[in-house]
Amino acid sequence: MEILKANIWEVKKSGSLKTLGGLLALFHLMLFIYWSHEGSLPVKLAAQGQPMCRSFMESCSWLHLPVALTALFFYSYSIFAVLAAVILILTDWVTFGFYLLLIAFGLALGLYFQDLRMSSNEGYFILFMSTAYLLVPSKHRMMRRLIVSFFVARGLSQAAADWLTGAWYSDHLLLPVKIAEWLAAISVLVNMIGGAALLFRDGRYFMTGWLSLFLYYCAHLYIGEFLGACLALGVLVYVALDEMELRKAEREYIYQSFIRPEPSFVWGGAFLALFWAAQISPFLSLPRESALRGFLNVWTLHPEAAHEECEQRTFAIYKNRVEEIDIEPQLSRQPAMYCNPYLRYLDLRGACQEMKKKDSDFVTLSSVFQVRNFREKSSYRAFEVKDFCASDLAFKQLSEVQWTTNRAK
Amino acid sequence: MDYESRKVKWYWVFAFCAYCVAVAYLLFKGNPLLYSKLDLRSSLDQGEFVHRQTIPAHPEEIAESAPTFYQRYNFQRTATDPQNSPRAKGYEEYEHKAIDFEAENLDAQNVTGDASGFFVSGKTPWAAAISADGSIRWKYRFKDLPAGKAIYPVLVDENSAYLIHPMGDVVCLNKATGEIRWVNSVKSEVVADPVIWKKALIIPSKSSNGVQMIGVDRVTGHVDEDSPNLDLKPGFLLSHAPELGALIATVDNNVIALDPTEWQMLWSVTLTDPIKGPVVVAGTQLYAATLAAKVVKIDGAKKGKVDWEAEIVKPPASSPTYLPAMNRLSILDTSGALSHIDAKSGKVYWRVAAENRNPLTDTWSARLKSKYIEEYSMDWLHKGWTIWTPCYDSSFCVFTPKSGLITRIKLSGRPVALPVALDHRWLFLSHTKGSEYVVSQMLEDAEIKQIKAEKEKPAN
Repeated sequence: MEILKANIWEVKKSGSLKTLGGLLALFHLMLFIYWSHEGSLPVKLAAQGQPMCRSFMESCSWLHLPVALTALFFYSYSIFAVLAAVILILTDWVTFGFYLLLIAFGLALGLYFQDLRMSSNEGYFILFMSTAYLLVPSKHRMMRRLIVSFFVARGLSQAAADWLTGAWYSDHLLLPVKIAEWLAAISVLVNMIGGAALLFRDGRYFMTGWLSLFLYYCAHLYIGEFLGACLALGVLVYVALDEMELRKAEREYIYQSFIRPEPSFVWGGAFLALFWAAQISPFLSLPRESALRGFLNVWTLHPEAAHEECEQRTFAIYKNRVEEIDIEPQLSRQPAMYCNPYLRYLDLRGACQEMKKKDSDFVTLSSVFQVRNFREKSSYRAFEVKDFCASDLAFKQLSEVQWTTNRAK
Repeated sequence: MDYESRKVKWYWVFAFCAYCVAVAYLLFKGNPLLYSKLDLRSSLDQGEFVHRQTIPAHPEEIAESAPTFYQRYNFQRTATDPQNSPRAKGYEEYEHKAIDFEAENLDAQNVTGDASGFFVSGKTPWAAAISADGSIRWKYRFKDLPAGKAIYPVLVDENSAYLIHPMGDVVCLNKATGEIRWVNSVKSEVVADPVIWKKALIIPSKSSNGVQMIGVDRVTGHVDEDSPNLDLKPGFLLSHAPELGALIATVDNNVIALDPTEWQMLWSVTLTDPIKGPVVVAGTQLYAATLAAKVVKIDGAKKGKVDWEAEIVKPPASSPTYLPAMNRLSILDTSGALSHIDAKSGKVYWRVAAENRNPLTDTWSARLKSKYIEEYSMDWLHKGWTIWTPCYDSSFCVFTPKSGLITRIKLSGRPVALPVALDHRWLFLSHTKGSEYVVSQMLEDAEIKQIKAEKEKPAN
C-alpha cells in the first residue's frame, strides 16, 4: 500500500498529474467505446471459445474468462472509467479518483490480455501509460519522457517502407500519389523531431514541437484516425499543462519537500528502457523463434499502416478431388493482425470442422502460409501443413509439421 | 536535461541536430526515392525467394519420366499413329460410358490423353482425369479463372499431370491419384500453350518486353527465370524440328525458328496469310496450312525458304497430317472435305467430301495390316499408310492414299479430340447430342469376336 500512497501523494501535489489521471480515465472510456463499436469485442471473443495466445505462452486458456464474467468486467469497466474521469477532472477527491482509475485499469488488463486479438497500439498506449501513472514513482519526470517516447517510436515505426509509400493517406484521402508520399515523410519528421522537441525547456523548441504535433493530430482526427489522434491530443494537453506547472514551480519552488523528497527515477528509467528495447527489437537481427524476440514482441507497437503482405494457399482434399479454396476469417481481423499466423491457424481449424459437417467426402485441408514483412524485406514461410485437420495438431507444432511428414489420408 | 535553466546548452543543440540527421537518414533509408507502392514492391522483390518456393518447399522425390502425350501425337505435330503395329481396317465401338461430371463444371475445350485415359480442361476452373472406362479418376479445381480464359491443356508424363492456369500457377499432380506433388507459380500471365521440353515445362509468359520462356523443373517444381525475352506475339504454337535443332513457332503469318538452348531467334519467315495451327515437321521440311486455303512447304535448312504453295479450295480446318514413307499430306478444310497432297511437289492428288461435322477437325495417319495393302491395291513400298479422318456425324473414316474410302466407323458421339492410340485400339472422347461426354473404346473386329467368344464359353 505504501507504493500506492507515494503515488497518490505525487498526484495530489501536481495539478497537471491530476488532470492526466482524468485524461487517462477518458482514454479508458474511449477504449470501451471502441470495443463496443467492434461488437463488444471482449465478450465476442470470449463467446467464440478459442483464445488467441501471445507468442510466449504455451497455453492461455487460464486467461480466458467465462462469457458472463467478461460481460460483467466489460460493462463495469465503463462505469469505473466514467466515475474516475469525472472525479479526477471535476473534484479534488484525488485518492478516490485514483482508486477508481486503478480498478478500471485492472478490469482493462483482465479484458485486454485474455486474447491477443484485443491487442492494438491504442490499447497498448493506454495501459502502458496507466501502469506508469498508477504504479511507477517519479511520474513527473517520467510521464513526459514516456509520451515523447511514444511519439518518437511512432515516427520510427513510420520510417519504414510500408508507411512511406503514402498508402495510408491514399486510402483515406483522394490525393495524388506523390502528395501522399510526401505527407507520409512529413509525418515521420513531425513525430520524431516534434516529439523530441517536447523535451526542451526553451520555448521556441518546445512550442514548435508541440504546435506541429497538435496540428498533425488535428489533421489526423479530421482524416478519420479517431482514437489514436484523440489520445495524442489528450497527452499533448497534459504536456502543455505540465510545462506551465514546471515554469510556475521553478518560480515558487513548491516541489521542495523534506518529508517526501523527489522519488528515484530508477523504476521510471527501467520502464522506459523496456519500452525502447521493444521498439528497437524489429531492427535487430534476432532469430524469429527466439524467446527474447517473443518477449519483446509483446511490448512492440504494431507496425504503422500495416502493409504486411501475406499469401495463403489452401487446398481442400476430398476423396476424389482437390479444390483450391479461400478460408473465410472466423472473426474480422484488425489490419495489424491480417497476416497473423495464429489467426490463420484458428481459421483453418474452424474451417476443418465446418467442412467435415458439410461434405462427407471431405478429408482434410492442406495449407501454406507465407508472410511478407517490409521491415525484414523478405518473406518467410510461417507454416506448410498437409493435414491441417489432424486432431493432434497444435499451433506450437506448425513449424515442425512439414508437408511431406504429415500426409493427408 | 537541465531543468533549472531554460537556455539550451550547446551540446544539447548538437545532439538534437545529430538526431535530426539520423531521422532524415531513416527516412531515405526507408524509401530512398519515394517510390510509389508498386515500384517499391518490385524493387523489394529483387532477391526475394520465398515467393518462388514450391508448395511444399521440398516436394517428394520422384524419378524423371518421359512425356506420354503430345498434341497431334508427337512434338513434330505430324499426327502419325505413335503405335508401331499396323492396324485392322474394321473397328467397332466395344463399349462407351458417359462421364459422371456436372455439365456446367466440365469444359473439354482442351483434351489430352495417354494410355491412362483423358485429361480435360477448359473454360471452367476444373481439370479432370478420366479413365479409359469413363470414370473420373480425379478432379482439381483452381480457385478462380478470369473471364474469357481457359486452363491450358494438361501436360502429362509417365508419373505426373501438370495443370497450368492462365495466370501462371502450375500444379503438378500424381497422374494416377490426383494427389498434389507440388505447386508453384511463374507469377505472370501465360501467353501460349506450354510444352514439355526435356526435364522442364516451358511456360511462355508475358514479360515487360515480349515473351519469356520460363522453365519449371518437372521433378522439383523449381522455376528457372533466367531465360531471355523473345520478341514473339502471344498465342504462338510450337513444333520441334530435331534435325534443325530448333523449335518452330507459328503465330499470325509468321514462322519462326528458335534455338531452344539459348532461346534466341534463328530465322523467321513471313507468309502472306495467317497460319492455322502449328507447323508439321518432317526432317528439315516444314508444312503449314494458311487461312488463304493453301498448304505451304518451307525449307528449314534454307532459313525458311518457301518451296511451294498448294491450293486446297477452302481454308484449312487444322494443320496437315503427314504420311510417312510415301511423303504425302492430308488435310481437312472448313467445308469438311479431305485433300491429299504430295509433300514433295505440292501437287493436290485428290479432294473428296468427308462431310465432317464433328468438333474434331484433325486427320491422322496410321498403317494398315499387310493383308489390306493387297486388298486395296496399295503400294507395298509405302507400308500401308492410310488416312484416318473424322467424317459425317459421329463417325470416322479410313481412306487409302488413292482416295478410296475403306471404311466408315460409327461412334456414340462426335469426337472432340484425336483418339488415344493404344495397341490395336482407339480411345475416343466424344460429345453426344444429349450434351454428355462419353468415352468410347474402339476395338478391332477380331478382338471383339474373341471377347464375345470368351464370354459365351462359360455359359456353354
